[in-house]
Amino acid sequence: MNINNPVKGKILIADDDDDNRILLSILMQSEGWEVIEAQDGQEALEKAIEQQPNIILLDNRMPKLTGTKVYEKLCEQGMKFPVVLLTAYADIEELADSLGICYYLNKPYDLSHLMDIINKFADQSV
Amino acid sequence: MTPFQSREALEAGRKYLAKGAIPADSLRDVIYRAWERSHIQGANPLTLQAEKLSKLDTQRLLEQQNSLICAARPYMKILSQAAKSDRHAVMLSEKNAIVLDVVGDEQSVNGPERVPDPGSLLSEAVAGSNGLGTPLAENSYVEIVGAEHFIAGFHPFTCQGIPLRNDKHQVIGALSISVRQREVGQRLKDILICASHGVEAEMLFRRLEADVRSVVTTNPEDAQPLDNLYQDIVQAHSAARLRLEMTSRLVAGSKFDYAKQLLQQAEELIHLFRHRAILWRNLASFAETEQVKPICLSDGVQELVDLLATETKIREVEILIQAEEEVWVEADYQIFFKNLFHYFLRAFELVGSGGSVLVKISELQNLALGEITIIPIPALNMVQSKPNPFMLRIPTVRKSYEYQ
Repeated sequence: MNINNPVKGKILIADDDDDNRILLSILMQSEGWEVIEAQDGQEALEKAIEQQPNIILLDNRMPKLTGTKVYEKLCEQGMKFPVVLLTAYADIEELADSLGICYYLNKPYDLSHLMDIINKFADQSV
Repeated sequence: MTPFQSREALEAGRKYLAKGAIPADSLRDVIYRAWERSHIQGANPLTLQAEKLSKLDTQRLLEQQNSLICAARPYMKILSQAAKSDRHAVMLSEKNAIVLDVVGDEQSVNGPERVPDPGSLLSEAVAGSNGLGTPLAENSYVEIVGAEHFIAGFHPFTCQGIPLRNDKHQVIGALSISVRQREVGQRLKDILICASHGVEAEMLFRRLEADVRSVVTTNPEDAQPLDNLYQDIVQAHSAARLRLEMTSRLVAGSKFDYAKQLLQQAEELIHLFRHRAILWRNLASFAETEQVKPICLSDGVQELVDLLATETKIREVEILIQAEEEVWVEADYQIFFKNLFHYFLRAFELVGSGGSVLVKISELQNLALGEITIIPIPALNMVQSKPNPFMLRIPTVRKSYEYQ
């Protein structure tokens, strides 16, 4: 945690690419977030239920469960977390709309855009 | 460039103005060549001739070059972010050095001493040695420091630029950054070079994006696996951009060591993305030319296995490769990879989650054939008879060609 920043909340980062996940974790920690990591969809689902994060960053193409499946399963259990879906899937707009996912970013995305979305959630949670 | 060389360049400029001849021994070779071209083409060292397209022509040009502008924009912002606290301008031009886009601090872009805006021509014939025209003329990265600019009006700047190329290696434009302090420019050099490769990769990505949308009609049977592979390939491009963006934040915060490591990773990922994008276009039959060429079987198999790494992770399938020797064959590159790709996909279906695929590579010397045998080994819970292996046999070539 950056001692200059109070904790903004918990963020769950789910990505099977270790390097990417760690890089995003470093960035989020430096921005004052408490980070929880998951390396596949199943782990993301379990940690979301267990740790109740303020926001979830979900890569879509992951082993065991896709990001959209994780979101669906959380909804089935009545848990509505703010989710940002990160994907290279070309028709994501249609899929995200049908599932009710508000935020998705097509890869490659602007880091500044991602930070804007996350900071918006941080403001809301404060 | 040392302070001495800088004084030498200033002196060379004075001599040129007084005598009309360029003193060759006072300038770096690349700058001497640039001055010579500028002189021959009639650039005026005392004033920047304001050659600019009309408003309408500029608008037309920007429309024509929209894909390059859109591809470059994120990388121009990344570069600008790295130079954040200093006065700077990041510029994009098309192949004739006509400015297409400018990103920078408020003073440099909109102030009274602003840099040339879109539609301005910065070829050496008009603007002398400069960060856009000179890299395009030299066909490589060039830095121009202070008095090395042919025209006096540019002397306060250190400019560096690099040509941008399409996937056929043709020059399509240039990317440059101009700063007021040379040391700022030096720390941005590697980011500029990596950003230029990022722009080139982004152009390729946009082409793939269009390709993947047409896969449903051109390759209906392979549409889903090709879409999955496309997403895995784009992951490398996205990861490169993430690293480059992190690098620029770190450089802006003067954290150079970690920035250097991330930049190197970004370069490697861009290279990987470009390589895999070419392979994907072959698998999806979008490559322009069919090409018969020598292929080292173990390298070819490994290349496809690497490409399928995420797919195998998701399917929970393991691939084992047994290659006793290096076997070279001569095959149509596209057909070879498409066949191999289909065999792998069929083998994955047969083995199920938890299964393995054994790939044996050997040479049938009497028949002068290279052989790849793909053996599906189903997971224990898969109730079925033992599946037949898939076999690919291709004539060998005796000479060990260097595999690209």
